[in-house]
Amino acid sequence: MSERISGSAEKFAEQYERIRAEIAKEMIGQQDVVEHLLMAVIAGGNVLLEGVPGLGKTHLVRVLGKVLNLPFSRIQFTPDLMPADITGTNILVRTEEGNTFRFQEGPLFSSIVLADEINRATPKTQAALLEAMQEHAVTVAGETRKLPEPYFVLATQNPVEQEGTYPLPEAQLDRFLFKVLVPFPTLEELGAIVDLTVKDGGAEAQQVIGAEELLAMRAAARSVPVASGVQEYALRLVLATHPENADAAEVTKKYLRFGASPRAAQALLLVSRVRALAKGRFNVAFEDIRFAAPACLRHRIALNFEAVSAGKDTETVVEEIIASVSEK
Amino acid sequence: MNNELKKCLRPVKRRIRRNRFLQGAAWGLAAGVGAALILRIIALFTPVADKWLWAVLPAAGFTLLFAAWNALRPVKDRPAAEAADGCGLKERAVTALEMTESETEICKLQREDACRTLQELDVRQIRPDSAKKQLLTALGCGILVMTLLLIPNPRDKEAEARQTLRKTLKEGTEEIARAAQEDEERLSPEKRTELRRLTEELKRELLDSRDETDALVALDRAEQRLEQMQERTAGDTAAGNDGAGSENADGSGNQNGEAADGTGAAATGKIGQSPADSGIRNGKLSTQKALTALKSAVNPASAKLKTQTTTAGSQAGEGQGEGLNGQGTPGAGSGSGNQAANGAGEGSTNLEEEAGGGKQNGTVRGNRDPKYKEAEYETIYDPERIEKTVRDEMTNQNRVGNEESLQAETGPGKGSLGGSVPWDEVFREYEETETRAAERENLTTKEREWVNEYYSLLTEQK
Repeated sequence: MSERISGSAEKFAEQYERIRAEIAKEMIGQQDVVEHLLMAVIAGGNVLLEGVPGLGKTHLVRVLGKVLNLPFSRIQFTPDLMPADITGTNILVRTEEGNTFRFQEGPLFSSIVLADEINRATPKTQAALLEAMQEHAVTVAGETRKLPEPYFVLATQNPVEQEGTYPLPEAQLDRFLFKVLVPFPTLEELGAIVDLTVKDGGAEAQQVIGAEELLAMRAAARSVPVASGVQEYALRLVLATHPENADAAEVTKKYLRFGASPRAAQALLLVSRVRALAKGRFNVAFEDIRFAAPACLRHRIALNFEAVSAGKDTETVVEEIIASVSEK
Repeated sequence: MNNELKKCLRPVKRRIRRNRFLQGAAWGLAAGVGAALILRIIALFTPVADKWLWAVLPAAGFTLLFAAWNALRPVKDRPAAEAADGCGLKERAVTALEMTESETEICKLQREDACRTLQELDVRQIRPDSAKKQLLTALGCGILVMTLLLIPNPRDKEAEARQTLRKTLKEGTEEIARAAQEDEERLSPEKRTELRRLTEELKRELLDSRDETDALVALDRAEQRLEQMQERTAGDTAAGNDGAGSENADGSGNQNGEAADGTGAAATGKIGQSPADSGIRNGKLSTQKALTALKSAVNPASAKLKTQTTTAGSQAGEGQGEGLNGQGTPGAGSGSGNQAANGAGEGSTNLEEEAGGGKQNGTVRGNRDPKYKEAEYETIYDPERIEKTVRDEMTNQNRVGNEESLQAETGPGKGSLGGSVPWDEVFREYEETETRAAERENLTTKEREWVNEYYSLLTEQK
């Protein structure tokens, strides 16, 4: 096992670059989004993608499934979507022995699940995702069924259209390793996207690794050592988001209602480990923590009324918090 | 700790040591120049000798001390690793250091990676912390020190004078010791011991002297004791010599001279009680001469005064010798004749004594050194200083000629008898009294000038 990990660690950076390059064949721009998504997948976390429609979120997830050679399923969340629609249900089937109930797996039973416009579903359906996201299992009719490994939920939501939506509860948001903001493409990127649309026979992404290799990469990443100072920095960063903390930054005390959970610290260190290996290092650096922090923290903190009235958004506040925490 | 990692950290440690040396030197320079500035400020109120030395020495000393201390302190592994990481190693060194005990595959890989990057590291990237503040502080203090060094400071002159005095006293003490050694050969064991004790005490007192006054007081005291020793020797001789001693008590200048000569002769030739003490009776001891020389060196005003006094005394002696007895022998008194002259013209201060002695006896003036009788002066004005009891003193200010004697009161003035009368106050009062007395007297212009000059010289010296 140990040798497998070290072998995987040594070729980690190379594999990572190959996956990125393959995704880039079909995804124009969005390098930051791709990087975050890839890291979350390797770390084994779920990602919430937030962006206006038409930015290629669904396409990105589809390409990712293709490159990683993982089964992919897509659920379009709507207000009338029921939990059983996604988890699966026992259905009555007629057999030679007679009628019997058989479990019909829902779309959650796939390695990559794209929960499109997750905030459109009712809280009941959203809650059905909780167990799948956290435990990688679903319980139907009292029977718990394991989901395939590797398993990720990649959810999207539209930040603009809020009418008829059900904002995700904090408990569910906390289950997402990252919240990645998908920006609008630049002029050049937009031009390339337009060109790609009308051209025939464009380059297609190919499979780079399989599930086995992905799990090996994940194991390697989890074994990366972290220096005490670096780990402490990550923890201080999380604590700095708590307004009740005496050592919290001024911006935290002023604009935050509550801070990030311990899951944020776990997520920070986990993603930092992946990034370290991806950058060809066998140890976590401060810069890895700084890289992962915004995506790890932005959906785990809640702004208060003063922040809203002052026109502050979570992005600004998180940046200020990161700037306020020293490395030593 | 992993040896390979330790080896890789060595160049980093060397570099840190060098940086610490520079940093320490900068701190030391700032502290040293600061100390020099403080010393210079102190020197505005208290005399500090060797001002240039005390400006340079703290700066150089502190710089070297701080630099050496910083450079010699051992560099620990953790700061070395952190410094290396600061050069773009991205926490490789620190992590490797922390994971030295771990033998997992990934940790081994990490260590190898850390060692490789450490070997490739250009340690020149590890720069010392900015010493701008320290250097600016040093510069600012340095400018202030230079300014204070270059502007005239009366305390510096005082310090120089003190240093000169100390040097003079040291040389003088050595000279006195040499002279005492010479004298000892001519003295009886008893007197030898006394002389030795006297010179030892004098040496100690001179070396403890804070200023000229202290030194002069010590010298005066020593001189007095030496004179007393001589007197005792003379008394012993007189006791053994019938007749010669009785004449001695007469007090006239002429007789004194004869008696002194007679005593000397008796002591050497006839009495022969202690042949070893011949030196002490046959004129001045070398120690005495050395004392006088040192007094002159310590108090240039006194030396200058000596010349004037000698001249004035000789002249006065001539006149008086003729006026009083008609048989005076000006300048004839020598050796033990001093004692007789002293008995005749004793005053409470050197001026009075010199003047009185000179005028009355005349015989003294030719060879007797003028004395700045500070011990006596202190006896009147600041007795506690020389550990004597308070006494009132009236000065017999004798006049030239046969006219009626006048008394000038120079007893305790405005100052307290409890001691610690400021010199300035006493001096001023004394000067006024004596100047008034001089004006009242029918002194010649030359003599009055002499009195005035005496005080002006003392004022200059003060």
